[in-house]
Amino acid sequence: MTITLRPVGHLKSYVKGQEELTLPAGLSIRETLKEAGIPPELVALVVVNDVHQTDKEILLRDGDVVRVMAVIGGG
Amino acid sequence: MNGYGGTILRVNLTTGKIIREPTTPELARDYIGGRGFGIYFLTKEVPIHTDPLGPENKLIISTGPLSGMLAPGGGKCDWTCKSPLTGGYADASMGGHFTAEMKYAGLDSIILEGRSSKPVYLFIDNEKVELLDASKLWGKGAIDTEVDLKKQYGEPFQIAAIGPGGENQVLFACINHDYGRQAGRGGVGAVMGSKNLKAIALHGTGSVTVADPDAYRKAGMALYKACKEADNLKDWTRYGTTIVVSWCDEVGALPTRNFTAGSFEGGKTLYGPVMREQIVITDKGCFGCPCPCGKYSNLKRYGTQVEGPEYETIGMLGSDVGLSDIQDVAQANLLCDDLGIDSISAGGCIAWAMEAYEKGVLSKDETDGLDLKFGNVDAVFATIRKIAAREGKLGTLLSEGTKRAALKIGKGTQDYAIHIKGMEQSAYAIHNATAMLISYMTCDVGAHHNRAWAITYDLQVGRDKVVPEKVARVIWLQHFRPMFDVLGGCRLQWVELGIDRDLYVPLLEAMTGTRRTWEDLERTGERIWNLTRLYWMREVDGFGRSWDQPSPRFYTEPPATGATAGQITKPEDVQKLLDMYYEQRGWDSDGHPKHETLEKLNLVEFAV
Repeated sequence: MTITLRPVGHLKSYVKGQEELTLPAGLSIRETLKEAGIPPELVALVVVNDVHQTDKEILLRDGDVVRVMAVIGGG
Repeated sequence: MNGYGGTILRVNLTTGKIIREPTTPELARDYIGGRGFGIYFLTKEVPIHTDPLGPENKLIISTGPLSGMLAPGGGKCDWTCKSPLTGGYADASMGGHFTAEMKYAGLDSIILEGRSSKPVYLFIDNEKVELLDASKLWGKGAIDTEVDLKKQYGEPFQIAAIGPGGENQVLFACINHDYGRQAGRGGVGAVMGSKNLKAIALHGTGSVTVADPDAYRKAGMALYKACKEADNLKDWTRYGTTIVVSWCDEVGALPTRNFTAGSFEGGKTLYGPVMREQIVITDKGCFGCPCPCGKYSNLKRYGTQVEGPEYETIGMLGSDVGLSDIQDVAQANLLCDDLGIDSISAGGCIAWAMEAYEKGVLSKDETDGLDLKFGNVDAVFATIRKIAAREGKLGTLLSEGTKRAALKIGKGTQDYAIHIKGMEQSAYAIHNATAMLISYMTCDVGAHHNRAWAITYDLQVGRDKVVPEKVARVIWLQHFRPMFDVLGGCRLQWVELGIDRDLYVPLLEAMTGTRRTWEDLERTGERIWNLTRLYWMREVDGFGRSWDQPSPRFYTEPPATGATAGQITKPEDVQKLLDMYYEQRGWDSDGHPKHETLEKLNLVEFAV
């Protein structure tokens, strides 16, 4: 029971440059990010199975693919 | 001159005299271009204490080495003048396609001087430069003006125009281009209006020489390759700046009801993906951009189309005035663009008036009968129109900006006039974000975010921390980020795609023949930053620490709701931040550069 986490852009610096991480399913998006070592408050965009999610409390299910992206520099 | 157009064009609107001067190697060496050229000409040529709306003020449009070249985002030019809104330094960066045509016409700067006795527009077709009658355009919206001039001259001509807001010299009037790009802040459109200049129609087909063509092609393509390979290119292109709406809402940075909070209960309907799904019909980029962040939207309810809204407008004409429907916000955006007023300042003024109205300080008589409550979309639209026309009691009051409006009304309204140096604060709530707070306090045009966007740094290191490292980070950003406004390029490729900034170094060298590392460029950035400070000191009697103060709202009124509920910056920390900032900059306790700092930066000749 796992999910795939794909940090994009600057967020990769929090996971030693890894393109993809396999993490346990059943945690919320926020908990999953913490588990990976990514500060949830820096994540601006979460896409779960190609669907945008704004609620970081949603629980992730087995097989979910999650893409996360930060904003670093602003407009 | 390699990498440059080679010419400074002077247009005197009083006499009609048009003069071409060569761009000197010394100017390029010391000020590079863009806002560097702008502050140089402003400081050297505009008399001290000039009326910003008088003929002696100059409006200076400048390209930079990256403008129009093989550089991702080389579509920016900079508009500089003495600001009618703040009384100090103003520059506004404008994207689109104007700057490339300007460079191809051989122009590094266009300096607009004097005042025409009747409405005119400036026509530039390579060497041909004329001032032509604009009486048929006067009174038209900025977008209609662009449509008319494009019909007359053809699509290759690039148009920059003011709307009625600029004609009426609303103090935060903007200049519109490319149907939805602006030189937005500080009232540059009012200065253009004060000169009776309605528009510029410009076309250039010339070449720009570069020092090393092979190295230029190689370095330029390396930059494009880096952009195309960025793994966040797809998401950034899909959402543009609207990607931050949900994030700001989550972390308490989304301005809500005149910055009384940083999270908005209606925020979800303003989020980027909602906007993308509901109204966006296509992406739109500036010249040479591989990541088109502009969003073009169709508003079925209104039967209109608009470029935008971008994050700042969603914040200031959405949550900050209590609007939660993206079509309403986008329509307000369109009104501001066409009428030619800055959507950030407009939102700030309306939010201030709404709070004053809800508190019973502004009466219905003073709002010209409008029920100016937060969330009243019809009142927002009506107020925008009134501001642009300077119509009625409300339009007259707000057309001068929040600072002057609050001074006039009094009754405690100054405490919630959200501005710094007279410029309405852009769309980041800073109740508990000390790096972003000091960034706003010390920004050299007023409360604008673009010089040092430090709010994620607050979250990374602890948002309430008041430590020298935060101040150092802001100072570094203030030298680095505006360097893109000097170079005539867009910073978003570095900022958001995260491409290696060192890739620009060989490109600039191949173009200009001069090698500059980023350390060299940052030194020039520091020099320009101190020069703009000296300009403020020169123009504003008593300018200093008191002008760097934020709205008391951010250190006396913790938000009642949202992510930052109950959080506030301590008043003593605000001053501590300033002390650290001045010390690190080599300024005295009143924020004036010390003599040794000016010596170090070779700025003694500009000492005030």
